[in-house]
Amino acid sequence: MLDIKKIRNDFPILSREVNNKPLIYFDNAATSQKPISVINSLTEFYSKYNSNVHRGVHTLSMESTDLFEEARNRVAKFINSKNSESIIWTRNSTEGINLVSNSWGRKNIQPGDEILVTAMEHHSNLVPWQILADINKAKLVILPINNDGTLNLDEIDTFINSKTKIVSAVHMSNSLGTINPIQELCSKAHKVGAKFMLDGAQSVPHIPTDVADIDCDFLVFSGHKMLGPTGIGVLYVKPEILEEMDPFLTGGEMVLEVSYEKAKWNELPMKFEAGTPNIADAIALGEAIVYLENIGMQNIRNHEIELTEYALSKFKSLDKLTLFGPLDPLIRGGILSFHSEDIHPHDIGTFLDHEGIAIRTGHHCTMPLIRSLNIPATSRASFYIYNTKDEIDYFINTLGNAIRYFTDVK
Amino acid sequence: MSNSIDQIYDEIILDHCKNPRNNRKIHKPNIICKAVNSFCGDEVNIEIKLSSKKIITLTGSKSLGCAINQASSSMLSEVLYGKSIEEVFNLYNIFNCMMKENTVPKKASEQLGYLKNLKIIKKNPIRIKCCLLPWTALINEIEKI
Repeated sequence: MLDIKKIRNDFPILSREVNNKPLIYFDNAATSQKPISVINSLTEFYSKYNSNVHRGVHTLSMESTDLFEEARNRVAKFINSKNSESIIWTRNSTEGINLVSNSWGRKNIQPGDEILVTAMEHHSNLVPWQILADINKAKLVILPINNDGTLNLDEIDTFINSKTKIVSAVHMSNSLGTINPIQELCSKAHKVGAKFMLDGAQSVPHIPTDVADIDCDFLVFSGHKMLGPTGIGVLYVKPEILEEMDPFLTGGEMVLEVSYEKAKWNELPMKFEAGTPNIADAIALGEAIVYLENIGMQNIRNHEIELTEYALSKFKSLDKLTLFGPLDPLIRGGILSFHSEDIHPHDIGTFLDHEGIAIRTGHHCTMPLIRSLNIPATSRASFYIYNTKDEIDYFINTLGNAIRYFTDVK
Repeated sequence: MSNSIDQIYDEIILDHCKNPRNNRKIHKPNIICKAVNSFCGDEVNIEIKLSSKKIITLTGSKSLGCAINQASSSMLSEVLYGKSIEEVFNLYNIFNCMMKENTVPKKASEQLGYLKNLKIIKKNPIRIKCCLLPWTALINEIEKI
């Protein structure tokens, strides 16, 4: 059991009001709130250590380099990467996927090859592959889903075949909450000699992640969804693949030696980090990881299973709503996406906002998926460590009021 | 119900949303106005019949999506009755000014009638586009006349 009261006290924003009501923050799949230790880390860096990294010989530069690399080590340990050279700082998951599709993809994908993604991918794990397939004359294949929002694996051996060169799949769907059987996908990919890329944007903040155990070749995630600041993300790449990859962005920091004619790349991971990196936010992400580790990722997962189970049972009291995604909380993250035939999600979102509740409405950057459900958009509530059953009660009650408000005929 | 939510969805907006006026397709319309906001799914379908003197004599509105888009479409379908194309342009300019600018001259504002109720949507700026979608669809079509 988490000490939620203590946790909530660490998040200054949770004590504010919205529309004269206590804030209930259920938009964690979009971005999480930040604990005071992360906020203080940013102030402390700019107050005491601000300096560029890997360049100067002065004290500030050496101190900031140490803090920056310590954060990288923390990330490596957090996902059980054996070495920190496999950890490349990016802005977010999107940039990580673009780095892989542009660097590894353009070099290794041949005409006629297949790239497999699932039907529940975020635009960030779809559009870069569409572009790569177009440029390299490869085929982008979509693995379909079942009605319950799980992957349809009936013909997985047809979908992952000898032409498949990379399988890139989301671990936890941001629209449906589905947790995919990534181990199975990864081992199927490896069996045909394909690489496996994991989009961990929604899972790494909520589920223990072990890259050695999963055996994925690439993993991406974003700092801002796991208590860290915006503008910092992580790409993990298996060392042997990283060695053979060409740089994505080029310029300063990523070079060892430059003449007017040519350049020699810097060692890993700097080879993939052109320009001055986002130093302060990387260090603050390290603090976020310390916070998460102090609570324990399995404890966080257990808390969210409990909240999801509770919310799913409470949803049954509401009619006129369709809930998407699997109903088993063990294969579902703390994400509830729903739709009403009678009320547009934006009206639900506006109504809840007036009662202090923040949810997301729209297509959640999964437009093809939402269209396949034959609806324009969904409303989505998503939970994190600081959310409570009391908040879910208030949310369900307010949602009931919203339905009555918009559908009761005078 | 809290008062705050009634500041966005006032009685007239809710009434038009729940009981849309002129909710029909009309026979041989002279003008068909369609618009879709594919991001949120708002959809406008307004049909208009003109007399030989180019006066609006019949309207039909079957719009889908959020309450604000539906209400705005329904209200628009009512105020169009008996207006000339020129008068519609004039009304659009005043309405657009009310929704996007701060002030509308009092004399002009009187022409808006109950459309003035839609001004409260400005308290939630992200929803202004829902309110303007039927008007944009209409103006796009009558500009072609």
